[in-house]
Amino acid sequence: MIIFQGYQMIKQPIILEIGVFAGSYWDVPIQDSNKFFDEAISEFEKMNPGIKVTYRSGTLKRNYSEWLSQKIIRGKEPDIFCILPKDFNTLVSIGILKDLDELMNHDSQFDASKMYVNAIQSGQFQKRQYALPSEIAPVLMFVNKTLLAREGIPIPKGNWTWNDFYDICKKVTRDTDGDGQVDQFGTFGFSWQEAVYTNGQRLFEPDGSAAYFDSPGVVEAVEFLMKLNALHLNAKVTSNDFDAGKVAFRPFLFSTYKAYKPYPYRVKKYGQFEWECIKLPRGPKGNNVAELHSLLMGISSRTKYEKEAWEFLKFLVYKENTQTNVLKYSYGIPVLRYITESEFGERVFSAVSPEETFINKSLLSEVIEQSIVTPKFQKYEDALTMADKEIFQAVSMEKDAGKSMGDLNKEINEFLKNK
Amino acid sequence: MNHKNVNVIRMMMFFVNFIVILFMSIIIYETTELICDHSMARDFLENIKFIPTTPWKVPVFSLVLLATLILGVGIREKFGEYVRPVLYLFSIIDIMLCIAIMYYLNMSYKGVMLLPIANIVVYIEGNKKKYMFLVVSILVYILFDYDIFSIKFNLFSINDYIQHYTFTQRLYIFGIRNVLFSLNDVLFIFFMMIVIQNQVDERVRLKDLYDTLYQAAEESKISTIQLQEYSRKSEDMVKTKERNRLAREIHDTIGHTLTGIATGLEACIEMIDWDNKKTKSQMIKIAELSKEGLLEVRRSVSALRPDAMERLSLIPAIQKLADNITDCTRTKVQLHIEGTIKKLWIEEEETVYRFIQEGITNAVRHGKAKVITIHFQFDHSTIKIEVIDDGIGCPAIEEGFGLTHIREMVGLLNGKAEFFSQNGAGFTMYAVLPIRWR
Repeated sequence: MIIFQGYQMIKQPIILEIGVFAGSYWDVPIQDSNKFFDEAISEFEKMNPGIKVTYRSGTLKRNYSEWLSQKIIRGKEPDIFCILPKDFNTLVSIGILKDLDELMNHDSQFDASKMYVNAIQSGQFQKRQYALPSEIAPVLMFVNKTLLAREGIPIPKGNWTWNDFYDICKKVTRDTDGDGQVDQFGTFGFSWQEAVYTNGQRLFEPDGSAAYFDSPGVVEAVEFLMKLNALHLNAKVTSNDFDAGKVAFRPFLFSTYKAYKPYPYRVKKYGQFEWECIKLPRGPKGNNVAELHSLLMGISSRTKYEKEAWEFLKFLVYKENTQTNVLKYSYGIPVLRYITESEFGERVFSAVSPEETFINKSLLSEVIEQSIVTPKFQKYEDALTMADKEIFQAVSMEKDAGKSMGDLNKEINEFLKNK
Repeated sequence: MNHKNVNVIRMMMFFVNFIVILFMSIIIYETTELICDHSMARDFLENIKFIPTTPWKVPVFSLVLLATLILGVGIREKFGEYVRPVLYLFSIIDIMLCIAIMYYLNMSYKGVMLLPIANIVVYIEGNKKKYMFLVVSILVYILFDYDIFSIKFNLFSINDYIQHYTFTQRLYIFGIRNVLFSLNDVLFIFFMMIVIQNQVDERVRLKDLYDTLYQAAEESKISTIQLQEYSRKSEDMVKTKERNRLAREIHDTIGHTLTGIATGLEACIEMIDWDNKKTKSQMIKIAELSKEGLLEVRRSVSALRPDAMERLSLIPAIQKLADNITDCTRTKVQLHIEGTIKKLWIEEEETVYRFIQEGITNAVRHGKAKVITIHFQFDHSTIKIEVIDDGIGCPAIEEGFGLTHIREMVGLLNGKAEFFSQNGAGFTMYAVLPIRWR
């Protein structure tokens, strides 16, 4: 016992390194991006004397993948690190992420059912847990209230459909100043993925063994996109048009809403018009939701301090205080459902938008739960890039949707099969 | 000399493996730096199947493991005899070390496995065990291959690093790598050639040795037969000797007593008519003599040793002998001693006693002597004995059984016996014996 204490005394503190990037994960302005981690670290170190947590700040999000990759090939990767969505599949495939199932299942203090099921799924790769999200954000529809009011259109209801969406877009797409050019538009940034997801379709087998780009639901989504696009054939909508208040709808992440809605950013960015967030319109086969975005954190499979790393990861994603800090310091939504739905959560959300009631805790929970978690396999990003290119061409050149998607599906299946 | 060659080649194999590991480590380290310098790490990750080993770990761990392997060989070379029971353990450790080295080299090099195979060939004795170990290590050699392993497991390939170089650079890298790999293979082939040559030589040497041994065995068989013959002969000789000894005993003891009795009785026959009293006393003495003779016969039968000699030392025994003759016969025996009387060894005493006994017997029996004179002369290192009688003597001495035996007995003790006679002037027996000091 004495020897053990003596050992403890001379023992160097365990140093856990975490990999984070500077700035907000959600690409919105943030005053002190490290505050969330700093507070978590100082509280964790207080509770676990003998463990020190360090990180290198200053790596920008756009350089983060390369920075982390270099660390990995030099064998110096942090014990715990943030994972960008485009890196997740690769990192799992090369085996750098620790399989967390064991740790989660053997930890009696960890109850996965307190987290959003979708949030947990977002860190899974072929049914194994390789990462856990520290915060999440669903896709919402940004509505230009001023524009709709000017056109005499009421704000759509929560469960509105593609048809409602199309009708409004059709109504507002027009030339307002009479120069012969269309200068007011229905939507900007409503992507083919959002169309597919709001139609409840899946693009791949979860393990990436097959693609379903030619399924009727997907074709239907692409056709809808073509229909929308046909409303302003000769004019290209840009984000400037949106910022200038000339676009009625634009899909946005919840985090953007939370960042820009309050003062001072609402004045800075979208000060010229009133705006609000509602759910996405749903297609004939789907719900009013799209993809769920999440900030994933994983543990290196080569970490020397597996137990301590897990404790810290758990501290980030499962600890009440830390998750409450997501509401305070960040723009995502806590992964713990009870915190999102707590009184504090309610206060935070209503403070974001005091005058409206579209965004509230139960709506958020509902959207999160219905949101789609994209499949995880190594070729996912490349396959999506291929599809993106083909579908953009098909839409802009008004090709036959069924045939284009059939060809695309063949091509992608081929790509998936060839290792 | 060949054993030395085997070791030299093995050391060269170790050296080549050292260079291979070094070469691969440099490639891994340099390429990692190159990738990072060009900010290609993310793309690199996309193209590999598994995380590469940390660059600094590759040379450190694999060279430490290789050094351990060399140390193991050193221990076996130096303490070969002591570590014999654990040679199998060493071979297993060899194989494990190599698997670890292959692991650290991302399964990209399996030539290192030839080292434990060479060690097994050198150290493991007994064909069955040797082949068992060889089969295991060859299986490891075959199966621990990147292409085989990567079917089932995700593995990093060192080729992913090499892909980062230009075409020409790649040619050089693959060229150097292949030369090193081939060098290792060639050394192994050399090693096996020398081992096989050694075994052939050994076999020839063994055959020669066997032939020599066979010849020696044949010769030894003949010698055995000869020895048996010799032993049979010497056994016969012993028997003959023993028979002679028995004959002598009989002659010496019974012959002597009977001579005394016969002579005494002849005197009695002459005396009985004119002197009964003297005859009677004479007869009593003869009776005593015969009793003594009987006792001597009994003694001879049981131990074949002179009785007088057993009870008395030499001089009193001879005195007794002389007195008996003087008392029982008409012959007078005189005893003269010169020099200091010395105690003699038992063999010498016996010989002297027999010598005198023979002299007296002959003088009484053949010489009809009236007086027998016995001279003893003890010198520093010799003893001289003379038995002189005044009997009839003989013209020519015919050495009968008794005299021959006496001469032999004296001869056995490195002494000399001589017999003289002038016709009508008695008979002289003379002997010189060296004295061994007691």
